[in-house]
Amino acid sequence: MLDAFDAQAEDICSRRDSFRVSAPAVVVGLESEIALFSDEIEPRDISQLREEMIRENGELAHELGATQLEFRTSPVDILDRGIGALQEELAGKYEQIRRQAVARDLFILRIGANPFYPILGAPRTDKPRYQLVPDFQNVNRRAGMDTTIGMNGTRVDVGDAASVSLFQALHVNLQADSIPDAVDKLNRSLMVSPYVLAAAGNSRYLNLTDTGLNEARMVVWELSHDTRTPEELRQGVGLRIGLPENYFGNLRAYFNRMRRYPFILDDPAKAFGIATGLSWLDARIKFIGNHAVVELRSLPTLPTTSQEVAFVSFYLGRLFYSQLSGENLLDIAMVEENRLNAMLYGLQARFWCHADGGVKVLSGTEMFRSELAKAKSGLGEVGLSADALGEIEDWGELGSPSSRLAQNLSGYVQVPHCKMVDALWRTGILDMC
Amino acid sequence: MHQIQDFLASFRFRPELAGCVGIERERFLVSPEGAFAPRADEFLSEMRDAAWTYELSRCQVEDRTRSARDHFIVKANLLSNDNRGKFVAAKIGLGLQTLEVAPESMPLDVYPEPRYLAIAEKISRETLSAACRVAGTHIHLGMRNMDEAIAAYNLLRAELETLTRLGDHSGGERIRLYRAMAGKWNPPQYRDEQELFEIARQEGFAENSRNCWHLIRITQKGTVECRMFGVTVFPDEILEWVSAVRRIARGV
Repeated sequence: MLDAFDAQAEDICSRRDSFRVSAPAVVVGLESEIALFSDEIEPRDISQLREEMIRENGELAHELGATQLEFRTSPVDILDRGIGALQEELAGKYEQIRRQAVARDLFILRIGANPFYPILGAPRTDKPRYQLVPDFQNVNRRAGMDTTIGMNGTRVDVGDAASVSLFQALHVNLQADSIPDAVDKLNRSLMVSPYVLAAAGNSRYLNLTDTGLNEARMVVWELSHDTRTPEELRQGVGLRIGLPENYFGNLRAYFNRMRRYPFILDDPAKAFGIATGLSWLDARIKFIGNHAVVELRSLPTLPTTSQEVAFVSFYLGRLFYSQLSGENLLDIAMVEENRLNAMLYGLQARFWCHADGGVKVLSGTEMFRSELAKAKSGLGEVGLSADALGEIEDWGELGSPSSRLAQNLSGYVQVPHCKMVDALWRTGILDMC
Repeated sequence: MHQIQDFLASFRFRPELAGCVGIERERFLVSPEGAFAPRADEFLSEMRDAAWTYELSRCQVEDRTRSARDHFIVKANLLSNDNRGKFVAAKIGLGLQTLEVAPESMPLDVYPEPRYLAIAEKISRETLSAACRVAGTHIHLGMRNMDEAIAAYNLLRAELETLTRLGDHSGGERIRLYRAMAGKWNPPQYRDEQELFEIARQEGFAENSRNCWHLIRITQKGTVECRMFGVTVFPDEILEWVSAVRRIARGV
């Protein structure tokens, strides 16, 4: 597999000029994951209904979780057609899925972590890669690790790699202008991701238990997939998930990191694709035909499509601001701290930011205001509207979906099922179609 | 302190912090050229944060995390202290160096604090050098009460060599120097509170557990403290040490 990967990576390097885009464009595609839900129907039967929906609607695809669905927009040039066109397509496709769900008495959970299913032994899609990959992680996870999390006196055991089947995300795919641009966008995406994530947290509850975290998804992913040996820890080797040890200097450095990790699946013809698929950094580079695409992977699924497009605007605007202003990359250790704080505390944390000509620590609210302003500036510089940001303008004070859900469930650490359903509906996370 | 009751009453166990972890890390201040800089007082004055404190050597500073059960919270705190420390050091033209054993040529300036100045007066230059040159990571594990502390202490004591090897990045040099400096470094077994008290009295740490130089000790903060670990720049490695300490202390 390694030889095949190296050959396929070398082929990309040899064609680097073919990834150059000459005409100005901002081409964005979104991948959206949702979960089907019903109080009356067993997960196994929901999974069957999901199969029906996939057969009926060619736009739908499986995900790891047995009740999950993924759908995608086409790549939209938002410079030409506006961000509104992206919103229209996302909302339109989602509306189709809603109608299919209604016809089957199903609801839709628009949340980053499904709070209803057990974490250990979560129901998975019955396809080989969805069995092999989590099983590999479970077998090779470092012995003796503490796999519990919790910030409020409770401990939740997340020691099963299949727990990822509980998670839903919004992935933002942005076409790069060239290979160097892709690497630059990748690095800057890693840097700005925590600012966006702090307000977007939508993954707090697991197995009807309040973990206390703003965004538990990637924390659980890291813990359940930590197969590093003690020697690798001594050498500071990072995970496949989250942040790399440092920014990438060039494409080869990115490929070298990808090839370090086991391929798990054995299909040499697809070695490069498999390695890409198993790279779960907060941002990654994909090669689709003659396009180099940077994919932001850190955002959870959000309660509405308009909120999702708002966060897409936030991310894109902040990324463009970073590139056009030529701002220095923040020390990766500061990004690591920002990222962990965004996941643990959301906007209650303090964040390292570029401010007043240097680097400062700002409160979550100050950070949100300042980074949103930069995003507006970035969108304007490129010629894009910042109108979509209006949807989340006051989230610096309102808090993330996680914090609003927690306010609705105030007083509960172990949440009764009916209370959870009610709170999810009230906060707009459970779409009862 | 003559009575065992007074001695036991000096330990402040907090059941609500049982199982929580606190980390202390010792690091050197260095100039941009790599020279060891006896400027801890200046660093601490600029830092103005109770999470940072001084050590015997004026070239060293120590940071502490808040007590936390969840290891991601501990990690966030380690990162925060690291980033703040580097930021403040850079402000005064210095860097923070993570090193288990500094060279013999390093300055032997003592931090101007009465207890440390008194210690420095009584010890040989060789011992002072050993004390100044070593840096380590101390892991505190919160205990419910003295019975639990003694049980955990004895379990950890039985795995002292394993834990020492786990945290060693200097080929054993750091521990060799520590043992030369500390004299009574080897933690004895405690059958019970009475034996702990007798040994504390004999070895002179009944009044203040900080005068105990054992590589594992029961502290008056109500923790069992593991002092055998070296230093690392990687928070995930420290968390692996924490996992090992927890596992052993639980008897698992």
